[in-house]
Amino acid sequence: MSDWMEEHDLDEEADASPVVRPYFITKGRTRAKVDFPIETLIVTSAEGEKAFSRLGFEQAHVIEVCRAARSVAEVASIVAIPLGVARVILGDLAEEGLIKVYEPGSRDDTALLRRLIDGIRAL
Amino acid sequence: MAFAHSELSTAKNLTPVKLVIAGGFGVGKTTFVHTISEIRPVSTEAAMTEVSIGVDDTSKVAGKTTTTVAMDFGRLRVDGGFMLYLFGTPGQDRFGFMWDDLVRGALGAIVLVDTRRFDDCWYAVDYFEDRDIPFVVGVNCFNAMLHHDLDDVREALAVGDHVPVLSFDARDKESTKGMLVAVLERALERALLRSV
Repeated sequence: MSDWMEEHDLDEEADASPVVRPYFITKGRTRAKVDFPIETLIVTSAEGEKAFSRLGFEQAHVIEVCRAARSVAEVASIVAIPLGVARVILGDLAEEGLIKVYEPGSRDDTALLRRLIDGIRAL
Repeated sequence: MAFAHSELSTAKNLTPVKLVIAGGFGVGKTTFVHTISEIRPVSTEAAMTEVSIGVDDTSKVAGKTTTTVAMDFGRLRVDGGFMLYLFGTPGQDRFGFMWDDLVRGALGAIVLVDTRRFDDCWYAVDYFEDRDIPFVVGVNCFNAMLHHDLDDVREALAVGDHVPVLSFDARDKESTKGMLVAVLERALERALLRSV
């Protein structure tokens, strides 16, 4: 580790780090209330729009981003937060009914698989 | 998830689904996603938190709170009602702990093979076989040149006859579509077997 520190300008590293530590946003929680798979689709609900002005910065940002359907992975990417943090925020928003959650389809669903195969062929 | 059911019942018909693109570094995963995705492939970072304890003592490094690893992904709308996500796996085995999260719920996987470096894909083949996740093997043919016969690839990887081994071109849209169809057909075959 000392080699690493010698090779890197620590002041520069500090400047590059986020002003707010990711887990400060979640008040130190690393476990989400709901364990969303990364492709779960999220859309802001009407309640979410109404709540927009009272939300914290990151929560409001998520509400804004999810006006178009976004996966959990996209939310993390666009809001520039780690996946785990995105899950904690989304779990909170879902619990309050501020977002709609579209759960992923199953690989045991033969009708779904057939529709996908036909749909991709038609692309 | 009691809160979600009432929402889902009134939600428009939109179902997310996921396929995973696995394989070694530089084998064409990002190219694959880029060729077929409707959005420019983006990446997200998963924080190494609990797993990193003892390995990467972040308290010793000023201004550094988490170690992250990027995952590339893209998406395409299919048949109006589906949002198909394609996730590329992080290349190295040492990120294996991330695979459970990445792969959970996937319809299937495409394992890309570089025939000069078979070693890079054994981890993926074992992973999907062990978990009964339907997968196909894709040999990315740069410049339409196949270094090995596909039967040799099958033998080298020791995959069963039920696993399709196909050559394709990651830069070609029709060719990548063919790979998506191949893995979904394999998934359908598996689902039909399970339902009887």
